[in-house]
Parts: sequence; C-alpha cells; structure tokens
Amino acid sequence: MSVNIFPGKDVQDFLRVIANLDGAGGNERAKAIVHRIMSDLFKTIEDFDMTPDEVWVGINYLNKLGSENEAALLAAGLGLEHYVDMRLDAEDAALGITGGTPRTIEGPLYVAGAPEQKGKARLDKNPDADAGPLRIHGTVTGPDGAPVADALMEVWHSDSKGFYSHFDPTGRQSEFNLRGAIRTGADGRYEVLTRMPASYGCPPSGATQTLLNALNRHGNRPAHVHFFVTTDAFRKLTTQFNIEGDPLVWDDFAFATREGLIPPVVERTDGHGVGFEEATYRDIEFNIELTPKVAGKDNQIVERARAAA
Amino acid sequence: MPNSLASSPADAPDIDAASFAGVLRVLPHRAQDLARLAMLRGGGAPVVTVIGKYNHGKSRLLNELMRRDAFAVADRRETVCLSECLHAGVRWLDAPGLDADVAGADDRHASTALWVHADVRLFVHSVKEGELDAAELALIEALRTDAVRTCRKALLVLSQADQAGEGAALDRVVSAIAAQVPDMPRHLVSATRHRQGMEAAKALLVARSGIPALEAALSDALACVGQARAHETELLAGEMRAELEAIALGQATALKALRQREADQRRAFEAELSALLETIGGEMAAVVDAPGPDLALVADSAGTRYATTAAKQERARVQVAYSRACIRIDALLAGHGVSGLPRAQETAAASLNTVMVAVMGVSVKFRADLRRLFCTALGRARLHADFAYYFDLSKDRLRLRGEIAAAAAAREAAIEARMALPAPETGA
Repeated sequence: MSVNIFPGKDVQDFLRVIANLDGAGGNERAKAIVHRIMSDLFKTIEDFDMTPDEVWVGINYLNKLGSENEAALLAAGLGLEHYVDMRLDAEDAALGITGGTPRTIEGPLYVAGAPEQKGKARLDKNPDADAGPLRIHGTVTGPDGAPVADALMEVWHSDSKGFYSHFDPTGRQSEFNLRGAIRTGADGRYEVLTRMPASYGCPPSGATQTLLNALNRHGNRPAHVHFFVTTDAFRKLTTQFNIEGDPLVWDDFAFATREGLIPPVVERTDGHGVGFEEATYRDIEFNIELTPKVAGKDNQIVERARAAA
Repeated sequence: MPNSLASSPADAPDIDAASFAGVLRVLPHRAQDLARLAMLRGGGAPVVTVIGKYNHGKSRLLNELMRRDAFAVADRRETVCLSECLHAGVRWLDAPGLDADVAGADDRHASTALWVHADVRLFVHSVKEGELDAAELALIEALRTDAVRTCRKALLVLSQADQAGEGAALDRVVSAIAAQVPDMPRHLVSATRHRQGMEAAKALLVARSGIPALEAALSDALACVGQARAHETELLAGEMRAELEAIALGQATALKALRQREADQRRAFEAELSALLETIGGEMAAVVDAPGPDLALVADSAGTRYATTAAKQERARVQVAYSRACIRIDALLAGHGVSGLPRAQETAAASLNTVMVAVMGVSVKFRADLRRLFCTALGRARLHADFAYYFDLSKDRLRLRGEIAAAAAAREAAIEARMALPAPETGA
C-alpha cells in the first residue's frame, strides 16, 4: 500500500536528527552531505513504494559488495568515476584550460613501485601465447609543444586473460609483469615494448556484474593501457588509451573512453629492429601533452588507497 | 661394591629401546612392558628384587644372602637409588624404600626394579612394625596378580624376627599377617641371628634364623625363571601383537571408509558439474545461435557515447547470459566448498579470489568464445577439468586427504611395529 509521509514534519525532523544537523560538533560538510543522501534515499523508498524486503536486499548487497572488495568496480560501473571526470573537465573549461591529453579514470589496479628505466622499457616478463607484440612510443610535451625531459611515465595493462600482475588469481604472472616506469630523456621521448592487452570485464559471478544483470548491462571494458605522467612543472596526468578496433571502444561499462584516447594501431614488420623476437608487431604512437598547474598548484591530484609492491 | 644406578640402564624403560621404538610410538602406554620385553630378550642373569618399606631390614637381609656387606645399612632411609650386586649368578636389586612420601625418581627406580627387572620379588616386612599396612597390602596384591599373569614368583619375607619380642607377641603378629594374606607363604627371618650363627658357627642358630629356608625357597623360584621368562615373553609379545593387529585393522577399516568418502564426494561433484555444464551448454547454444549478424562485434562511435544502441544491447544480452551461467556454476562450487581460491593463489583484490575468476578469466566473451567454452564437448571437458582441479585443492578435500594419509601412516606403523615384536612360538 502506497503511503505519503516523506514531506511530513516527522520525517523531515527525523532526517535532521539522523545527520545531527541541529546538534553541535562533527563535520558540518559531512552532516549536510549525509542529510542530502539520506533524504534522497528516503524519498526514493517512498516514490517507488519499496518493500522492506527490497530495502534489505539492498543492505545485504552492500555487505556482499564489500566482502568482495568490489565497491570501486561498482563506482566505475555506475559512472561515479566518470562523473567526477566530467566535473573536472567542466572546471577546466571554466578556468579556460584547454588542450592537453584528456584525463580519464585510474581504475583500481595500479601498483606503486615499478622499477624505473630511462627512455625505454620492456614490460613483458612472462610468455603469453595469446598476446602479440605491441610497441608504444611517443613524446611528452608541455602546453607550448616543447619536449618535457625527466617526465615519469608509469604504464600498466592486462595480459590476454584480462589479468594484471599482482592481481592474477592463476598465479601465472611475476611481479610488475606488464608494468613499468620510464623516465623521458632530453627529447621527451619514451618507448615501451610489451604484449597486447585484452578487453576484460567484471568477475562474471561477482557483486558488480550481479547488479548490472538486473539492469541488463554488461560489465566489460575495451582493451586499454593505463598511464600516470608525473613531472615537477605540470599537472599529473592520469589517463589510458583504448586499443583501436576493439568493438567495446565506445561501449565501456566504466565510461572511460574519450576522443583523443584511441590512437591508431599500425601493423609493422621491423620487429627485430626495435627489439622484438617477432618481425610483425602492432605499433601505437601515443603523444602526451601536459597541462599547466593552476596558480602554481596541481588541482587534479587524487588521493586514494593504492597498492604498492 | 654396590653399584648405584641413578640413571640407565636400571631406571630406563629404554633398554634396547631402539628395536622397539616403533612399537613404543604406536603403544606408548606399553612403555614398561616393552622395557621388560627388551630385558627378557637380552637374557642375562636372573634378577631378584627386594622391595619393602625403608628400615624394614631389606639391605641387611640382602647382605646375609650375599654373605658379605654389599649393601649399605642404616637406621635412616638409606636406599634412595637402586643398588645392585651380582652374587651366585643372580643379580640382586635393592629397591628404594617403598613409602608413601617417596615420589619422583625414587618411585621410578623402585617401579623399574620391581616391574622391569625382577624375575623374583622378595617383599620384606619387619614384624616389629606389626601387621601389613594398606600400601604394603596393595603392592602385595599387585605382585600376586602379576605372578599369576607372568609366572614371576613373589615371596613374602617377615624380617627382624629377633626384634618383635618373644613367643606370644611374635606369634600374634605373624598370625595377624597370615590372616591378611592367607594364601601366601611367609618366611620369618632374622638377619641378626643368621649373622651371629655364621660368625659363631652355630648351625642351630643359623637354621633358626630362617635364612636357609628362605634360600631354599629362592632357589626353587630361581629354578623356574627360565620357563617363566619364556612364558612372559610370549605373553607380552602376544598381547602387544594382538593390540597392534587390532589397531592396524581399525585403521584399515577407517582408511577404507575415508577413501570411499573421497571417491563418493568426487563422484557427486563431477556428476553435478557435468549435468549443469550440459544444461548450460544447451541454453548457451540458444544465446549464441541468434539469427542475423553479430552486432556485438560492430564498434559504436563517440556520438553514441551516452545513447543506447543495438550493438550495446547485443553485447549486454550475451554478457548477462554468460554471467548468469557463471553464477549457477558458482552456486554449485559453493555447495561443494570450492568457491574460494586456494590461499596460495589469493591476490590483493578480493574480487578476483574466486575459483570462478581463476578458471574463466575476466576477458570479454563474445559469441565465438561462449560457443567454444560451453557448446562443444571439448570446451565443457576443459571447464570440467579446470573446476575439478580446484575441487581437489579445496579445504575440505585437503583435510580429507590429510586424514587418509594419517590413517595410512598409522596402519603402516602398526604393521611395522608388529613385525618388530618377537614372533609367536611355533605351535604355540
């Protein structure tokens, strides 16, 4: 039976007590945000006449999500991470900051501590018969187009099964396989030899995909390569490019695809010359243009829990 | 001179223990019997152990039997360790005094002398102390029970006959003791009289000392030692062989039941998994054999980033069907305790620590992948083998295999231990 109590004084007073809006102490911002989120949740329950059973399904789901450590995955799938990016873009537009390589989401699988190399690095430490050779190279420049020396390019991506080293339940990858940290030389150039990543998705029987099933959505991402680009002079860039030709390129469950982040894939045959065992390989040129700090500060730095090895 | 044996060999139930170490591990409660068996196997001179409360004249009696002062004599408690002396082809052991306040090492010495070493026991009680007390009665009862079982003789010696007064007083005490242990022959002796008789060459005094009669009884008892030892060897070995056979049989039965359970569990898991994969194979065929071109393979464009397209819908349809199949398999795995990844393979990302993820990977599955995985006999056989691999690594299975290994080892140990024991006498 549908009832309408939300606008009433009791519920409204109750919401203020829940967030302790009228009490002293605590964090005013936290109080205001919790008050808004709970108000919206209560209103949702009333508007959809949600049953107690449905509410408990939701609460138990949060426990499942937490126990499977998938909250960050769900945040990507429900667009939270992309929405935050959209807001950063809008802020840049408002500040008149244009150009630069687009940022996109970091994802949950970065691991700090990859050994640093100068100019060029080979990332694949383990054989992967299903992944062909891939060369990634480019120049890091500033807003003025001048090469940036000593930029630290941190790169990480999956193997052909969609697994990242340090997060591979089959135990087949060694430490920092398909991960690297390359310091650009005076010419701002970097070069990476690695194997082609695969498109992958949420664990098929996990909490995130289970919720997506109810929305009739898949939890898959196109094949991609992650980057952090860190310098002293410019804003840190968090980005990734997608592998051109992947059918999922514009159907990423995490909404991380952006124009400018799908560099062309070129097939080349001088593999021995660049350092591969094979002659034929895929080549991707991915140039990076960094953006200036805002009033001497990096206004895009994100603090979050990250793995380290 | 008396040989004080505070440590081995006299107090050690581990004489010749090496040969019986395997038996001892399986039958730890038989430590004393094994030590006795080792003694019996070693042969050696017959052993007479003298036991009794301290200050009841044990050492003095022994000295008379030795015809020399081989054992220290004192009014206070003197014999704290086991002392021994070889005389006339017999090992004589003077056990520490049997007393309520004796504990620890002395007790062990006494116990070892009495139960491990002795072929014949002389239980000494001084008549000047009156009748037998409860502790003495209990030990005498134990010795008589043991004598029936092992054929080891026990003699009751009533000592210090010269110190209990004359005539009626002594008679009263002796009668009282006779009433306490009516079936047990008693030997009333006086070491002092014997010593005096010997020194003065008075045959009558020597005869009245009771020592010659005791020596005659001892001689009879010692004559039986060979036969008694053979009997005891077969008795102890036979009992322990039977015990080990029962253990081996029990472990064999347990092993059979455990192996049956192991096979049953595996069969049940495989049957359920096969049936489910078969069902999913049929349903997946309908999903991947949809008519028309496979739109999932057609990339969208930037312009439809926030729009619903037929290609997106198709990719969702295939993925959701795949996810639902995985959820059903995962439920089956959970029912058999196979859902969680073996600890050694766990990663920092809890979401990936499942057998499902390890087997299926997280790579995107298109129609061709699903067809290959679920809709071909080869694909299903591979999935079956992969899940069965983790079934065998699951906690319950590992525990069961540990139990099987333990039962097999226990059975093996019992069989080996039995072989280490003396074989039964032929025709016995």
